[in-house]
Amino acid sequence: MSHKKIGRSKEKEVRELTRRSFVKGSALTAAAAVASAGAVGSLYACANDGATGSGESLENAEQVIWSYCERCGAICALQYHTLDGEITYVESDNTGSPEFGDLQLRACLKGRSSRRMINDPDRLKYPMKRVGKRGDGEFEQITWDEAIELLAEKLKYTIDTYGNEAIYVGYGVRTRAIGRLLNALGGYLSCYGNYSVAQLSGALPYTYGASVPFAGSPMREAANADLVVMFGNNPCGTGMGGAGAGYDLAWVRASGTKIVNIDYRLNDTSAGFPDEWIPIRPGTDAALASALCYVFIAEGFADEEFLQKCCIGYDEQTMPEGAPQNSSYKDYIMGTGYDGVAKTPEWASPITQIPVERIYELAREIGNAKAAYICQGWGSQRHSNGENTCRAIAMVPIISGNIGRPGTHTGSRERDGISPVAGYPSGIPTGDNPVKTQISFFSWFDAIDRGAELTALHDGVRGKDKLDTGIKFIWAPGANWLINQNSDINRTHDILIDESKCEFLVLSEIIMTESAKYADLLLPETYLAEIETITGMYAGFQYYKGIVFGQQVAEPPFESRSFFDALADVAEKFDLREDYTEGKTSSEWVRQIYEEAREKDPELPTYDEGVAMGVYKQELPISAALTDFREDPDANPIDTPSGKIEIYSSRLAEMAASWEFDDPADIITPIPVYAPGYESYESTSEEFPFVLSGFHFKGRANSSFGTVDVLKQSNRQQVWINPLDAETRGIQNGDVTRVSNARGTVEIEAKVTPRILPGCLAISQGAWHAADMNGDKVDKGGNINTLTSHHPSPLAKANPQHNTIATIVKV
Amino acid sequence: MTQNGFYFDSSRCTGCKTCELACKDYKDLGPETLFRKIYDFEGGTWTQGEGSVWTTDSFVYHVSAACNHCVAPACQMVCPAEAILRDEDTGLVYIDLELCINCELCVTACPYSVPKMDIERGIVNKCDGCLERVTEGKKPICVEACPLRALDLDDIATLRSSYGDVDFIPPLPEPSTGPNLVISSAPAATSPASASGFVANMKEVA
Repeated sequence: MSHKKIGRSKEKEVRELTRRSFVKGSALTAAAAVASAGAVGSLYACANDGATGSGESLENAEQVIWSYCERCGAICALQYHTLDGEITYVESDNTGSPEFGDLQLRACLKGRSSRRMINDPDRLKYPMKRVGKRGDGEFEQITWDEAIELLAEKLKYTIDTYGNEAIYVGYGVRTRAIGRLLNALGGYLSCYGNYSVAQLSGALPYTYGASVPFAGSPMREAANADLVVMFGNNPCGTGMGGAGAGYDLAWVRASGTKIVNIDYRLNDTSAGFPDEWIPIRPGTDAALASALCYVFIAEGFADEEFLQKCCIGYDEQTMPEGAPQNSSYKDYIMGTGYDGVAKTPEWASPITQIPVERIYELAREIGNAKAAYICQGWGSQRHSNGENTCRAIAMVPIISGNIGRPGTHTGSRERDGISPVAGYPSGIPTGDNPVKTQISFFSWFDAIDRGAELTALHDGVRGKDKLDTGIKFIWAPGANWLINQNSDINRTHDILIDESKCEFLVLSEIIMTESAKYADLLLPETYLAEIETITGMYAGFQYYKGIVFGQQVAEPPFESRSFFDALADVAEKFDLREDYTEGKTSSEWVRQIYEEAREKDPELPTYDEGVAMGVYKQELPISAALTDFREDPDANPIDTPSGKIEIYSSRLAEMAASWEFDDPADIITPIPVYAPGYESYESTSEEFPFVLSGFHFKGRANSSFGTVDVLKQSNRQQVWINPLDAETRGIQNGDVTRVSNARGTVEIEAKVTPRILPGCLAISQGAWHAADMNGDKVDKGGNINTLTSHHPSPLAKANPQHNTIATIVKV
Repeated sequence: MTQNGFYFDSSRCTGCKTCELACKDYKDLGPETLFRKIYDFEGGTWTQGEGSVWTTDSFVYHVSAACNHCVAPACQMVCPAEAILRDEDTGLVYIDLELCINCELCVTACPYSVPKMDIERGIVNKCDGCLERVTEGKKPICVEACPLRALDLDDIATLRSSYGDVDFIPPLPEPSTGPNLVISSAPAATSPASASGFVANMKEVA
């Protein structure tokens, strides 16, 4: 045993020494951190049973402080272990029972790597002003006073010269504080939608009303079903935390429910269970859904009673007034509709590449199931035809009547939870924006480029018939959509570097991202764990309410500042400090926001009790959605104009007649139909023979964590290609390839894998773009957005980042 | 002495690598050093039917592997410095860094490639089953991290009575050192197609 002790303590020394590398040279920061962590840690460390102090003197200085990871929707609790104020490692939620099926907010590999992100060598240290060409990433250090002065001056100039509508704030982690400031200054051009789920949130409300698409049944309800059918869903790759939908699905599988996983890749949600997989060509989910509905109707599986009672537009009996003859959904499916084509499995098979008999088999499995839980992820909708696709998928449960009964869902994504607290900083009250004009989140580059040409009917401008001015000032808060996460990086670059168009770009960030390189003014932001915060659980947390009380784990390094505080200084330049802060510090805002939640829900602990607990979680009963509606739709209407499920939407019929499109592939239809969309598999050619699609990668949350070395090593950025396609091109596993199309070229390692359908390529989104933008522009970071298109989807005006055509060659 | 061993449920594992990264965080390992690693084991073929229709028997499953704290550790047998020891209380096998002479004989001897040369620190080291934590009555960091609850560490006798005595699925080597390991197999691991499998992520596990 004595040998062991010597060995262990040496290892510990080795460990501690190497951990110190980051703060080295910043004695002031380290000293401040000791004071702060000591103050909170001594109070809260007791929350972690047995985690502190095991007798050795080094460990006496250890503190355990709760915070969380909010980089994806599935927020996970983190307990930071600190030693002398420095983070040594993280644990996650280990409170309550660890048994399979029980509830712990366990972080995934990314949350577990938070220390590496906080200590990133590229952390921004000081406010900086651009000195080189925009986009070259050359900056000089300035003081905070100079930064605030410059920002205030540019704001004033922009408002005076172009009006408030020329200021654009995209969405991001810290948007609300900016909104609060700018609303006091007369407002700004805001956006609707987001890169994650715009087509679905733009289209499915026409079928279901605003709330149902995000308020279906929790995944665990599927334990009451015979069958789960998932379209474009990979919960084990998206919300990966221990209390996310992937965990719930594993629990559902263990309960004996069969799973069907429809995707162009054999994704990790079906790892170990390959029989669950039905490979499908990207962008053709609506064809499969239509064929399933054909079999339901043809073979008597359609739930006629439910359709007549609860739905508009199924057949001639349920059509709304004014709709043309033969325009019902049944007409479309059975071949008596506008195109005269029956949507048989024989029709769908060559489109989807799924064997005819497999389509019949799936339809009959659903038809014969006592209950089927049918859902879609956000993969199927992130296409140029995504609006129709997500509505078509919802037709599978609607026609088969798998709605409003135990074990069923709605065909949308598995239910989001409802956060019991607005959160800080995510829920800072913004006040009203006096500027009512909005553009799609995916229009800002066009609004810079074509400015006042953008209209309501062509570009989806809301609140006005057309824009009066182009965007002249962009404020991008903790958001990498400026370059990395937006489509067509090379064109975006060309738009951004023209300083006559967008005149000023301010970004706040924690590290030097690709987007941050385009800033004119760059402000160093704090990491979440460096301020006091609070969050409630929402996405993925479907059957309980949860809150994490985030405390300050470490001092913000160098000159990085809490965004809320920095903006108070900007407000002061306009004599609005009091209006902006209402006399409250960040910490007081956290408490106020929490107390507002407690007023509504007295069951919640007091703030101090919550802080001592670190994480609060309370299980909620699980039940299927829409049971009341199904029982009595007149007494329990959904929030569509008719109060029923609108298979045929008169609102969409009006838009189909009035909206303007440049390309015939862009369509809006009153009923959900299959149409390949702009740049689909039908656009492939000899030059660009592959359909290229994207997916969310376990090693990153979008682009977050994209620089963490241990994550990059364990999760290599690769292009997936089927062995049959690789063989004809002489590509072997691990080879360096170039994937190209008319918009650009990425250089990327090949993963030759039978887990992808032939004819397809897959590149995970979010890799950090790395190209010489003054040279060949070849992106050696493997960012799919070097290849994706700016062409917006027809209804939501959203990002079609999952359908692109491309070619691949070995380098 | 209790002999602890790891339990791994390949039907739960999604290959997310949270165990691996939690280990890296706790043990403060750089990119090149893995105490726990996840094999992506893939295979299968594609057949084109009429038209452009495809069928396939493709599969993937993952294996999360660390030190098996073997009954007859190959690492211990070749160590000239007698630096590889078994903890008396837990049965976990660890390297005494004071005694280790960094000769790397264990690195090549272990059939599971468990001991690693940590180049950054210039020491040979390996998974010790989180001996410190286990001694304190906690689970290893990887076990506590797994979002899917696919890992455990316990008395090997208890594990075998709960889950059986399978201690091998591809791509692990055929057992020759008495691994204290219990595995539950995913359906893919026992399907005929698995014979065509290969480790798809060699650069990530090397």
